[in-house]
Amino acid sequence: MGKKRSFTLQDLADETGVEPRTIRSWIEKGLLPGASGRGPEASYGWKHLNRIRAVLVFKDSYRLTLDEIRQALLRLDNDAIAAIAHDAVEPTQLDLWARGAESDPSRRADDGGALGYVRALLRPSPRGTADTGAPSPARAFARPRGTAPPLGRAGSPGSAGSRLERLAETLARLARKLPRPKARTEWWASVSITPDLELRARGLDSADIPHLEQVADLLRLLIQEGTHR
Amino acid sequence: MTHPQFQVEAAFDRGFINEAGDSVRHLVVTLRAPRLESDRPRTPLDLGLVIDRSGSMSGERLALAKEAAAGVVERLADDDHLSLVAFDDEVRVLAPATPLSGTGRDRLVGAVGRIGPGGATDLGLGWLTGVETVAAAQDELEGHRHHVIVLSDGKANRGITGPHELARHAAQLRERGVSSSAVGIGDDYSPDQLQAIAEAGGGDLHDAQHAHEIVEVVLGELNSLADTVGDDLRLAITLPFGTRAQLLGGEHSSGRGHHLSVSLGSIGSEVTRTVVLKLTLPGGQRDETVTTRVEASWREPGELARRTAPAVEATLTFGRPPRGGWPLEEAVASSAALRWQGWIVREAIRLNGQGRCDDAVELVASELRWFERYVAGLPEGGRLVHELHRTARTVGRRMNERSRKEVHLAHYKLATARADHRMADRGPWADHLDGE
Repeated sequence: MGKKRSFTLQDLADETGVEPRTIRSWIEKGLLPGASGRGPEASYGWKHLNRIRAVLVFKDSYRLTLDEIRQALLRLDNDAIAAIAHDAVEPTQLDLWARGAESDPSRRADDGGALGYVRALLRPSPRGTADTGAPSPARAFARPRGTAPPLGRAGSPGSAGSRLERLAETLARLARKLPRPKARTEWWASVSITPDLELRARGLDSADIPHLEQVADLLRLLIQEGTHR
Repeated sequence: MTHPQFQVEAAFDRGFINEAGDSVRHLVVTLRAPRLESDRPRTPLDLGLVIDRSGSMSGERLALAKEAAAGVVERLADDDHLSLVAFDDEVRVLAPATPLSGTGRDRLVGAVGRIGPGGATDLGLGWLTGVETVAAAQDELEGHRHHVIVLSDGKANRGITGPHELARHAAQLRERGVSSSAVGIGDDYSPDQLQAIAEAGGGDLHDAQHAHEIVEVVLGELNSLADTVGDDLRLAITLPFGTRAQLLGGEHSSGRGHHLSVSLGSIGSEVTRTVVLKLTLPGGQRDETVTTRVEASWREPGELARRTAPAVEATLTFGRPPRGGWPLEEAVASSAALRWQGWIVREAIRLNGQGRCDDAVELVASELRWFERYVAGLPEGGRLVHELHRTARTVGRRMNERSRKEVHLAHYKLATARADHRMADRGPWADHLDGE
């Protein structure tokens, strides 16, 4: 295929292992540009081939949703996409590109969509291991299976020590906000850390909830680290 | 094919803010949904119906919930799928996602008939199992809308019961393409739990005070689903640095720093939604401006990809307040006042429901001090203030459950611009204040 300039849909499928049906749906979802020509005349170029490969990298290695991938591709030019397709990008750079598109870590597709999420809630595996079953959705920062480095190394939000510091800092920030006028102090906000563990705080207003969620995220990471050790 | 566009506007109630800081301004965001093209076929449904069969439902309620389910089976089209789940303290999947074509319809009618009364209420488990049956068909039924309707008359007393946790899961599932609505039956259901599921789940909360209204609201919800032009509508709002924001409509939101994401769920043809944020802004250099940016995105029913409307901006200019303050933009301030009033009433009702009548009165009184000044020049101001005084008088003693539910529901429907499908008109919400 080295010198070829245009491909059919089947060529793309053979080359990438992605079903023609799926390629078409990616075009519809705006991940790839449309073909030139219609019907049997439809032809595709290197641009399509590279983009499909880049989509696969983001999908399989970073477990981004198709929507997040679309956003990631929007930020990249053709050269960058070609580099991803040919595995010619430094992992740290690729991390940055992928993370830039990750709208919300808890929304990552590594829990198998709605079905994976709900099954993990209904039938949590005893130790919640990502390798044997669907990971628990409460583990919002779970690493993509088999791809990302273990927690606490590059690519994760810092070491256990620095996480503890951040935890203390965020808690202090929250604590400084208390107490508030009487009528509001009785309102409890709760954020789940794991399906069986919840963090509750009183006297916050809704703008402070992200901080509470941050505390929960950090606690979750620390707990996970404990279980993995 | 051209896609219908949403119209988005964002405006502040005053154009200026105090250079010294701590100004409170209301940001009013208005979204107008386009008209549903009449020739466009309805997006097929992958619908889950989850029915509470706990002890309290036995008798007329369960009979009419089954009648509503039978009505749904009758009304769905051949390319729709329906799953049926019944729960008490355990859950039974009576039918997985079943096509309405062929013998499916008869099988579903049979499944509805098998629902019988049981014991305690594990709402969370029932609802999540309903989501599971719908989600199990998600891959196969691409291009369908995946939606769950939960019918319950009780307070969840088993399994996941916390409204915040229910909301968190509902939001996660909505983001993964399965939305949820809830129907509260009778006077004893927990509006907090059901609203958590419906609001964060991107669906609607219905009330069926009388058993016969179960059929009305379930079939009404089915009509609303057919009328939807956008699912999982969201606003991404970027605020000036150092701003504190509070949503006055009770919408589900999440955010980091000065970015806020507000979830509005599904929206019907030509519906206008208004979102009001109360912002407390920092100070700045005189004559400099700060900008708030609002971007709306949604999914067309049955699609996975999100569409985005062009972002809009609203600006504020720092200055020194003139004597008597800067003038209000009347139309914007009227929208803000209405939502602010709704927030006060809902909070007061909630406190009353917890038996904290003194706190409820104190809340209304302390908000009224600011509110009265704010609405003084507005055409509807007098009425809004009068209604709040009535609220203050009422929440001082324990209200009956029904009045509380009617007032709460009226404000919920107002804030979410959704229809009350019950046929019997409940009249103005404030009339329920005196219905003690």
